[in-house]
Amino acid sequence: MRIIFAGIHGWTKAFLQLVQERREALYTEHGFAPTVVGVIDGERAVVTEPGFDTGELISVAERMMTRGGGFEELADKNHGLIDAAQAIQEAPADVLIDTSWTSLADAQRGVQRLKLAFRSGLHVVSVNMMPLARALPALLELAEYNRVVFRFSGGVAGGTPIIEFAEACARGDEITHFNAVFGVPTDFILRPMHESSVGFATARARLAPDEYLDAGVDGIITAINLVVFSNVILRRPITIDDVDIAGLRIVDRDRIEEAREAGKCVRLVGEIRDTPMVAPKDVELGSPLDTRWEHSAAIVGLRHAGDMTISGHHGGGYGWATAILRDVLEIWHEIGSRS
Amino acid sequence: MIIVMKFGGSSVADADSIRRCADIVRKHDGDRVVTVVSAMGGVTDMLVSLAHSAVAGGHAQVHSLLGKLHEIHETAARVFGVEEEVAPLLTQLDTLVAGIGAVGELTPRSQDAVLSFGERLSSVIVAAALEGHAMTGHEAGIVTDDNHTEASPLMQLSVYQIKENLLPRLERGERIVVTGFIAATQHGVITTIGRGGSDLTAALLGAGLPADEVWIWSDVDGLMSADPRIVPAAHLLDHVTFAEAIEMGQFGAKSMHPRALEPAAEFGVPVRMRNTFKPDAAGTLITTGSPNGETVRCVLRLRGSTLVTIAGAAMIGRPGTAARVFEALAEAGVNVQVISQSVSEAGICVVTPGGQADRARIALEGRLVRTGVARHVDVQTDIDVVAVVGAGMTGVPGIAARVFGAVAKRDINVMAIAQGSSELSICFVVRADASAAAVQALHEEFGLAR
Repeated sequence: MRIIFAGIHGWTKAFLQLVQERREALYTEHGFAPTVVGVIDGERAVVTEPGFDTGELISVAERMMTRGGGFEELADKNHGLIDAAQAIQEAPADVLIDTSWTSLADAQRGVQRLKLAFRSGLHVVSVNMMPLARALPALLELAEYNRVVFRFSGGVAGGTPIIEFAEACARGDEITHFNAVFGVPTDFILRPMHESSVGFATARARLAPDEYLDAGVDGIITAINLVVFSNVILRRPITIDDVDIAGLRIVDRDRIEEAREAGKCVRLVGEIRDTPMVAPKDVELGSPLDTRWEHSAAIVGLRHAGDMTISGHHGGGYGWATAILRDVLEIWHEIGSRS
Repeated sequence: MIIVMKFGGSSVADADSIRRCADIVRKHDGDRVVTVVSAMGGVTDMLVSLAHSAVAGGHAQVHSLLGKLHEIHETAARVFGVEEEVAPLLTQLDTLVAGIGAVGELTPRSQDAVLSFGERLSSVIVAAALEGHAMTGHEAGIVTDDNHTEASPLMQLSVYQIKENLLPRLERGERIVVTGFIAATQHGVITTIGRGGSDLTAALLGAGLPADEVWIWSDVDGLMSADPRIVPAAHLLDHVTFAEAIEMGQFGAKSMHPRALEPAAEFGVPVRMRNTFKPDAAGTLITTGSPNGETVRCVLRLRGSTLVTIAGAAMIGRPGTAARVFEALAEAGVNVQVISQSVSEAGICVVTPGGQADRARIALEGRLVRTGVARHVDVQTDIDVVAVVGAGMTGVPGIAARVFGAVAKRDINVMAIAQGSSELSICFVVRADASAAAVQALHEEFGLAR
């Protein structure tokens, strides 16, 4: 399988290392031996038909994460820089793995990239969730129309396979509701508020400016997960505009104290019953949603079987990487089954 | 309030009509309005003829049609001062038609390209009348599959792109005029979206923005309880449900095209049918709301149909007979309007549009009589289909008895009957010369006169 990456950083590095470590098993069990034939960084790209050396790509990813640079050298060794859109249209790739970051405000840029990939016949694995927030129904439709596979489990709950779990639950029953807590990045704020009794402003001020953190604090990350759940599992086409969102900024020290006195804790909970909503809620201590801070947990309510729960460690590099690999392998087998 | 207003070909037939439409839109300057336009009256038919004449090498006909198209559009363009915008479009059309003539082939893709000029030209002229901005359906965000001449929109993608493309312009106060009927594939190749295309464009724009209402302007007041030419006491229906409107459209009511009502219903966008010549009248509002308590809302008739009966004892207890019937009809391109079969399975009758009767008969004889599956195929022309429609009929016993009782009182023979499981309508077949009396009888029976 030939891969083109959009984004070259920690996730890319973790994925490449994971594939390298599991190379023999992946080949034996799946006949899977991927080649990276293109890398996109912003609006520029490098493409090479024979494929990059994996060690070199890992080295470039490390350099770009720390001191920057390295991409130009990669280009010099491989036919020079080309436009990112041209790379998507012309690279001899089967799948685009999009690990780039776009904020909600400029999600359109990410949507355009995904549309171009689908139009160009590429299967897509995305961990860039903002385009999904804005346009998941449209993207799913366009992928289906072009008969390409679109997967994004790396972006859901830090790689915890909530979607696959819910799909399995829904196969034999009817889903009545969905409740979930996505630990990262809300734990960066809620944990000190609970453990050190600091207020929201103090907890936030202790952390560096970070768009991803703020998206978590403002409930955007949780809302996107609801968007995915609604579209993929419930088959209800919604976007983030349809989610009623209240973030963590309304939580103060008193709220935490009151919850504590009532034997509860405060978590940012995503919920779908009639309408999807995100809000800070008091959660019973010891209940499935009282997660360890960096964990995510989801409850899938079933009409006959009752509540089913899944919980997982919010991945970090390898968590995301295994989720991406899961998606890529699914596509690999899908391609194989079509031929 | 965000409103999508669609004006059909007769509403933009000439400069005066276009001015009237512009006046209507301007009255709503306090709202944010997107206008959808069809081609100027008669232009689409001329473009179809033009394309076919070009491929057939009919130089005189091509010359004549191009001349007429130039005259129609240049005349209107002069009135609104957009000759310079219209001229390059007409030149493009001339070139395209010359190319089709030279190649001697008219692909569906070329046909779509030719037809698109109707709306592209009218939108430029209407935009000038409104001092607004003309856009194609594709520029507005509508993307279709590549089934040229009958393309289907990629609904979710179009809805997303419409919001992205149009809403910021509306918020800046722009008056936007969008071509109805034409869109493009994901690769930007022009497509047309077939029957009811401009209505569908309006519904999609309404879903995408989203609009508070979609207004379909035409030359009728809205949906009526019956055709007033048959029943003078027929009244305007001020409010119907989407399900009722779709059903009414199937039975020939001059409504929004059923294909266009479906996305409006799916996205919950209210649609209002209004009359260009009575711009202050409220028209008929179509919403997802529940019925108003009446059982039957209107009585309709579908004229000029044909009743085709396939019969024979060999059909009894023989699985797959119905499948053969409908396969044969589908392969012959025959549209089936009504289906009826007796429990005995000795006969199936279908109602088809009158012009398709011979095709239907030949197809059925070839497939079923020739192989001994059926004994004979009978065709009865000069029949009409009469239908009562109303969402309130669902689950109410006795409606059918009242329908057929009222018809029997007038000595009208019912030749076939059909009712869908939705119970939204009951329809039956009568001789054409009895259909008006049947409509009158039912309108009276259900107290629909106002």
